[in-house]
Amino acid sequence: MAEMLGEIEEVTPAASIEASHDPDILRILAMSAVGGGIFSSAPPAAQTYTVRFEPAADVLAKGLDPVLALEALAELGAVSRVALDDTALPSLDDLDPGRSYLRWSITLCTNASESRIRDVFAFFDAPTVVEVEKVTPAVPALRIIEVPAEAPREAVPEPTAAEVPVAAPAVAPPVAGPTPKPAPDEPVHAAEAAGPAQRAASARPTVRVDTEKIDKIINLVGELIIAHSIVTSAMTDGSQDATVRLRQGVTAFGRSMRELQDRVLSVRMVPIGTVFNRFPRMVRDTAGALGKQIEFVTEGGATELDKAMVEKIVDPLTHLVRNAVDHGIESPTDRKAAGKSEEGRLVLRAFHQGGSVVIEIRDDGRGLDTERIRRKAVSMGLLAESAVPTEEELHALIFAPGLSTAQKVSDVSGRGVGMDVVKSNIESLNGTVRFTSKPGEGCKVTVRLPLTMAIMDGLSVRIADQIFVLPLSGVVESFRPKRDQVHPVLGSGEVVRARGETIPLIRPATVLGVDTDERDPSRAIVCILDAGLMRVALLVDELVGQTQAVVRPLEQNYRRIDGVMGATVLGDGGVALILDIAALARLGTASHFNREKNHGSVGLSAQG
Amino acid sequence: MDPSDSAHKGSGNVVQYLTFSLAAEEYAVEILRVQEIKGFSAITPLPDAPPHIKGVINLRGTVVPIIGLRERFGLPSLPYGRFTLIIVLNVGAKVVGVVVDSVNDVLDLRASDIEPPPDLGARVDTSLVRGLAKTNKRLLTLLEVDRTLDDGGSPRPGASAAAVPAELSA
Repeated sequence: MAEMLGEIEEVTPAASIEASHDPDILRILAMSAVGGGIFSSAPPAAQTYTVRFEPAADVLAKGLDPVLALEALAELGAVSRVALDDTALPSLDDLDPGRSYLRWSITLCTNASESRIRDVFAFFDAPTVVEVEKVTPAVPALRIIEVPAEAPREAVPEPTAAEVPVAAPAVAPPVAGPTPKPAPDEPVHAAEAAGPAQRAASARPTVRVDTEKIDKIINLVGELIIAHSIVTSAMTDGSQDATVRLRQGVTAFGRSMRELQDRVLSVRMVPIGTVFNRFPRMVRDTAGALGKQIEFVTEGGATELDKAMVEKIVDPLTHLVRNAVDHGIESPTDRKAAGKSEEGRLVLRAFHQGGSVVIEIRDDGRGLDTERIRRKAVSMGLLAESAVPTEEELHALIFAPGLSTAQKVSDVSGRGVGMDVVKSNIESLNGTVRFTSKPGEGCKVTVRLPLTMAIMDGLSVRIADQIFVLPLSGVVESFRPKRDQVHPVLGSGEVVRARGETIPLIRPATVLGVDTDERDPSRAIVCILDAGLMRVALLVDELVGQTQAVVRPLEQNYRRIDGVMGATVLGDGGVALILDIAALARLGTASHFNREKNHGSVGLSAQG
Repeated sequence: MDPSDSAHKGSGNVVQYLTFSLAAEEYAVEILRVQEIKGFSAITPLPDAPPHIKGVINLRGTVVPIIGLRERFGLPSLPYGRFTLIIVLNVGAKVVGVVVDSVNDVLDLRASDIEPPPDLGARVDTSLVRGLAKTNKRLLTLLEVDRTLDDGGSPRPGASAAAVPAELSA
């Protein structure tokens, strides 16, 4: 028994070391093995960075959460050292729970580019300090770190670099010091943060669930067990009515199973109101600072959404709301001149619509100046001088990296980062974001998210002898192109012309390592996929059908693969990969246009 | 603090090992790390994976990567068929399957039976070897389970050199 206990204790540290080693090493190996191909545009090796993160005192009031940023940072790579500087922390009497006092210095080993690291903090504006510094790999990371002027009272314990479990730094900082948290409106977070430091090790994300929900699940499990015994007894006895009873058992099984599926998923659902609640104060403060009058309305706070999704939607929503306050709604004098009431109206609304959750941010401001966007896009080379884009295409351009139409950079926004990050954040949740605007009447941003990331509607397709699943939300149409619809371009590339659009054709061999049986597109099928800023056409052999895919993450036992969102189990027990459309488009077009980086690709390659 | 070592430290504690064959060689793996042994099931290949990562299978709803140990050790590949065996191992919190030719028996080994891996020069990658054990005229290579998911260990010098900075800083 003692031996077994020893064994169990052993496994845990091993796991964390594995986790910190694996991705880097495997990635490096994969790169040398594949040799260019898919990875030709990826950075060559893991780099160590020192990230200094000093949130401004008012970030919490702006609705930003440094903890979420730190967690996002930890996801980029292996964190080997975290130093917490709490010297600014006042005594308990003077402590204002709405202010942020802590600073961090983090050593991170990652393949991600410096700009990816900065993207994590994109929502934090000055005076928040974010410094990312490359550490030369020859020197052990430990010596490089600058120690805060006064030794921190409670830094994260720091054994030798190799022994740091990767999960600890990501979770420990918020608990190590008495972190001020302005979140009485968010029970889930508050419960975690309030725990004493001893809980650092066990600080896993938790969900509060109604006991009623759990009781129903237990009842359903009971019914499943009964159904199972019906089936077993029907199978073992050879009597006449065995088939009938078998059928009954299987039907009961199916019914309980479906209900159980719904109930179990509902455990993870939390009302989005927990996010909405932080906005009124932020809007009031920001509007006050800008001298604007805004009536802020939230609707549909009871709409339920997967908890993981609720956490990740906070930053993008914060940014969108702040954008609306800063750019959307005009100052009272401007509004009066335009014949509107002095008080602007900002509506944040959530509702269910056909299996997804829609979040709308609507203002009654001046709307988007499409002409200015066009000029800016032309000057940045995103748009040809002679192009005649539709209104919709111009609206989509505001998500392009680096594009800002703000004439001057303000304290609140206008730096050109943001909307592209918002878009990529939402897309990483498998959602979409659309922007519509009427001049003089205001803008509406529509964020559409799947109810849960665990189950997804998919289109299964066959490529050679493998089945792949495409997220149905990203499939625009599928058809067999006529011979004159496919044209070669630039020697190696191909495009499909469909409904007046020219769409780059991706052969699966360039991104997935398998090629279609049918080389001739006019005898195969192309799926037109919507990757946000662009559309791509993926060549497949056959459309198999529509499926409900239960998403299994690959990184649970292996690691992330670029272009693959996860895996799912097929009806025959085999595994099919679920493709990540945005990454596929990036990989596919990168290999086409790599040599002519400045042409063609709509700035998408910068995201890699 | 190498967790894999402590089980063998000190007294002549007996640890059980599962032995298996690859080509003419015999290997062993700690039996407590073995979750199960299963027959062959269809493997879904992964894009952008090194040659020894054969793909993933569905193990009762979990997606499990499969490593071809022959390919990992640079032995010639065998076609997979009905007699192919997969040993499912627990690598920390992860679950990994390794493909072997055949599973032999369960052996008791003492710490004193185990020798450190020999230095075979840079030509042979011993990162996956915890040690060698000699019993009853049999020579067993002990598999370092925790490293099965590590880099490919292909003997190309470029790969191992590139892995060094990542290890240092992690």
